[in-house]
Amino acid sequence: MSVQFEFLGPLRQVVHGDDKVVVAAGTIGEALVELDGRYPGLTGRLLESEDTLHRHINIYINEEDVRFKEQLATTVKPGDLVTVISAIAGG
Amino acid sequence: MTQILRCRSCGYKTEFKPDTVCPECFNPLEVEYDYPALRSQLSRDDIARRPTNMWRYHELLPAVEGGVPEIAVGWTPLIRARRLGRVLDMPNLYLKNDAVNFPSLSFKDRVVSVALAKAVDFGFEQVGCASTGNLANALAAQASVLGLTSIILVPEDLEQQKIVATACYKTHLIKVRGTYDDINRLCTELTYRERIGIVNVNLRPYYSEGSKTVGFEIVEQLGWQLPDQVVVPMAGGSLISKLGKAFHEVVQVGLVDDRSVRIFGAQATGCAPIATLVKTGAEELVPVKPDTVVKSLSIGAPADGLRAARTIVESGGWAEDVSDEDTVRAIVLLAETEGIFAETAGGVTVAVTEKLLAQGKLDREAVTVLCITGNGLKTADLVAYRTDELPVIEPKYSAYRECRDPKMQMEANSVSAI
Repeated sequence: MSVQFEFLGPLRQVVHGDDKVVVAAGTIGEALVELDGRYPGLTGRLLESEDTLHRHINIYINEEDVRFKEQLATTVKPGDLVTVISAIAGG
Repeated sequence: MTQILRCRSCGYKTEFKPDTVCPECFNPLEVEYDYPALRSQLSRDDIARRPTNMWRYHELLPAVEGGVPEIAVGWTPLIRARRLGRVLDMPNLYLKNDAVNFPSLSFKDRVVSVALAKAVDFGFEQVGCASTGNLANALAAQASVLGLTSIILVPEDLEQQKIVATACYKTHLIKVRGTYDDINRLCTELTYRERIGIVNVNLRPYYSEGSKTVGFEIVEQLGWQLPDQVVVPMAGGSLISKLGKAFHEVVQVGLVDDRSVRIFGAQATGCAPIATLVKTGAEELVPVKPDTVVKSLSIGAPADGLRAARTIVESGGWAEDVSDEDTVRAIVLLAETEGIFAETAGGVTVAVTEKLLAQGKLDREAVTVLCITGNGLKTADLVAYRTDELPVIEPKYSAYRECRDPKMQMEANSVSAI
């Protein structure tokens, strides 16, 4: 299943500045592992541990924060837009 | 004196620029000062001769190329709260009253003052923010004075008074169908797509430093000494973290002797991710969907949540949360005892103080400062029930006597007897 990823701002550097990235995966975690094959070191920079997202990075599937779903185990479906964005904001 | 932005996590350094994210490890960037140099440059006497506003501590704020701002923000009263202290059995209780901060009646005037000074330095003509209300008021007011275009995004369900107190300025106010956290995401995206200085996104390292001036003022107003305890409302967790930094800095630069300050955090039960983090001792913050009347503290995914929790725990403090009912009751208690009409965050702070006292977490005798961060006129609807049964009379003395029923007399007496 192909899902489109969009990395915004400084996070774009983990995909070498690519605008949009398409990946086939069933969950967010699987997608990140797949992308790590293409962009070595990606998971090391985006994850705190194997199953925990970096505390200052948010991932949204369409408009929904994966922390309110199943985190990295959250499933994705064809046509979803996954946005990866810094969480250092507000207050 | 050299100031830089430094990543607290990996140590990456860079010169001042409009950015908040470390490009190496994606953690927050923060302003770093040359404390040893400041130790020989800064004295109590020098500070005492300066104008009474937050910029009297300018060496400990981000350097501003365009000079210190003219808008006189800060230097709000530190009040010896004898009557509330008697109710709470706290003889050394003080209130830092930012409900009367200038120009927009909340502590957010401080952070905006710094952020907009830097926005001008960086050449931004357009500034903006995501806000739960107080920041919207503060940004709209100061951007109007500085002639900057302001774009302000607020949750659709924000209190009407806060919307009016923003719309009255020259600003572009936009209501967003979503939570504050949703708006934060949008504002972050805006900084990548447009030339705009969002005060709590790409200007955040400078913005957040403004919160320290609450701490500097408390120390100076106590006669250059650190308090023993402070109780602070928490939304994004920035204010409480920066208070910790302020208390550390005044010792670092030799303005006061070192002494431990126990820092306590206050949240509403309907949005208490930081208090929960402190109470559970968890490693990571779990975001929540806010469900409380306390809109000004309704940040479900606080960016400084973990740092706030560490500040509290490392100081030997604690955090608690209180119900909406207790919050409203505490707003009234504060008004009746000290004459201060606070918005919901003030009610949360007073109610949490009561709760921490009941738990034995706060020392009743210690010099304790409660931070009152915003004005009650902004959330007046919550106490509007107090006007439900007001008497309406003919302009005659007999009618006046009739309406002075025994119940009202008793209530009046109970307050004056405190």
